[in-house]
Amino acid sequence: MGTHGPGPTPQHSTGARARIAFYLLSLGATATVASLAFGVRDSAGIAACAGAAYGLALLCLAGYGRLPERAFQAISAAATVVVTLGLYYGGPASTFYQQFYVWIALYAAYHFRPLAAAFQAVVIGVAYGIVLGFTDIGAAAPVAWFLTMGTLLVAGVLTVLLHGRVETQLHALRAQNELLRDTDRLKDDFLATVSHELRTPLTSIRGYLELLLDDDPQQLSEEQRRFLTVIERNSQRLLRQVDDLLVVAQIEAGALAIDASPVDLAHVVGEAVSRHAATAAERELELTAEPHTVAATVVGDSARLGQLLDALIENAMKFTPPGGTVSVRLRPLPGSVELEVVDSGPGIPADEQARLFERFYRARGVTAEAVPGTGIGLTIAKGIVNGHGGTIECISLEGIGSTFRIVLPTTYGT
Amino acid sequence: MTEAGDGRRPVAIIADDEPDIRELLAVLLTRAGYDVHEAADGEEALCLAREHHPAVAVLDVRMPRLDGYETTRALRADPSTTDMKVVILTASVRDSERLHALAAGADLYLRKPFGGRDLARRIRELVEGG
Repeated sequence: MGTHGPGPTPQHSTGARARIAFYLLSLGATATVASLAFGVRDSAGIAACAGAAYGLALLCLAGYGRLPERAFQAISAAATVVVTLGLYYGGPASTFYQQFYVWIALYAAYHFRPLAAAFQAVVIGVAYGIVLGFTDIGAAAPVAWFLTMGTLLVAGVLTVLLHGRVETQLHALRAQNELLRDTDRLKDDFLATVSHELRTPLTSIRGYLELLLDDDPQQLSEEQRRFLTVIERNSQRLLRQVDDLLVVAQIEAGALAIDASPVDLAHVVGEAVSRHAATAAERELELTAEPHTVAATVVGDSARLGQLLDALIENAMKFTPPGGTVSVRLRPLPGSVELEVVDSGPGIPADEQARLFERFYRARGVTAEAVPGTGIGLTIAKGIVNGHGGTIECISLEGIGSTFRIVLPTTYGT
Repeated sequence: MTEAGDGRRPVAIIADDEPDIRELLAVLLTRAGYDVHEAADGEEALCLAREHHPAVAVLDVRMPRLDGYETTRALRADPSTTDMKVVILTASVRDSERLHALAAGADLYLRKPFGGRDLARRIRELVEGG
């Protein structure tokens, strides 16, 4: 029929318009030749056949294109009139089009919904009934006539039956959709509640501890002060674990927000390194940020990127024995920035490398000095990197060390 | 510890349904030089605000009867309290909460747990900044 080519987008380039014109002209020519071949000799008959062919073409466009149902119904009504007139004037020869028409019309209507196809079948049936009443087509082409009416009847009954099934399925889908939305809402509420229930007591613990430690130093003995410092340090650790778990929950729920603005990565790296300087010194590790001369600015969330560096530096320090080194390197690439955290640890065995970013996976070979973790640091790192549209990978050689390489696009989300 | 009502100290309203945190905030703000009035929910906070014309209100988000956002909106809608500073405190980690707080008309949004010194400093900066 030549209508699939241009598809439903006839409004754009000149190329597309020329193609449509070509298809329409060929359609008219084909219709004329076909009607001559079928023995139509008078001009009214040829015009009717061509008209019917155009009606079909329109119907195809309407059915396959993403037209609103109302527009489709208008076009299909017009096409029914055109094809019915073609049948009336074209005589038995135009039954050729009639067969096509019935199938296409029913398919196009079904494309919207079964009931539309049933309605279409009734409309075509009535239109043909009228034509049959006024002409001798019924007697001249009994097979075509019988086929048409039979098709309409079967299609009408089938579509009404299908309509019931589709409605049932739609109903089930809607219920499922609602359930999914409820689940999402529940997940979000759960996250908010857990967050609230864990952080509220920590607020009191840490708040009152700070009050005590801020009080007049004379009121506390040296030992009491030391005990309070232990409580303070551990409440800090607990808070950190709670926050990490909540970040993982947010990543899992796909709800990790990235508050994007231009960030100087060198600054973020410098801050992260100084945050961990004391721990590094304690464990006799050399923690450095390699000097860089070029600006390395990315669009991202500076707090989250800080968390990312915390996770990577802590991870590296956890596996590097005393006397080793951990260094952070930055390298601007075209359109992205490469960030590497390199350690001189024992390296990660190949069988463990694949599981590194799994939630709660804790690698073997943690040093004796390290505080054991929950195994979510790298999950967080990966979640943050993904949230920035970047990539993270681990290159590790046993006995030499590990490198975590992150590539962040400089223009996230723009 | 408190020397309330001498007429010179600025007034602060705090609203939180957790008594421990209410007391913590009261101690912190009293030490910071405020005359503190405590409320256990948003309704109470509104009454106190209309009565005492405070310089600042520190509101928790999750409270019975009237939550922190609703209370903020009510304070902003009332001409007698519309100019006061409002600080919203939340224990939630959801990033959307900050936007909710600012949309409701809060001047400052802080997360729990907060550092006591940090909280007092930021409230002082907020109030002194006009």
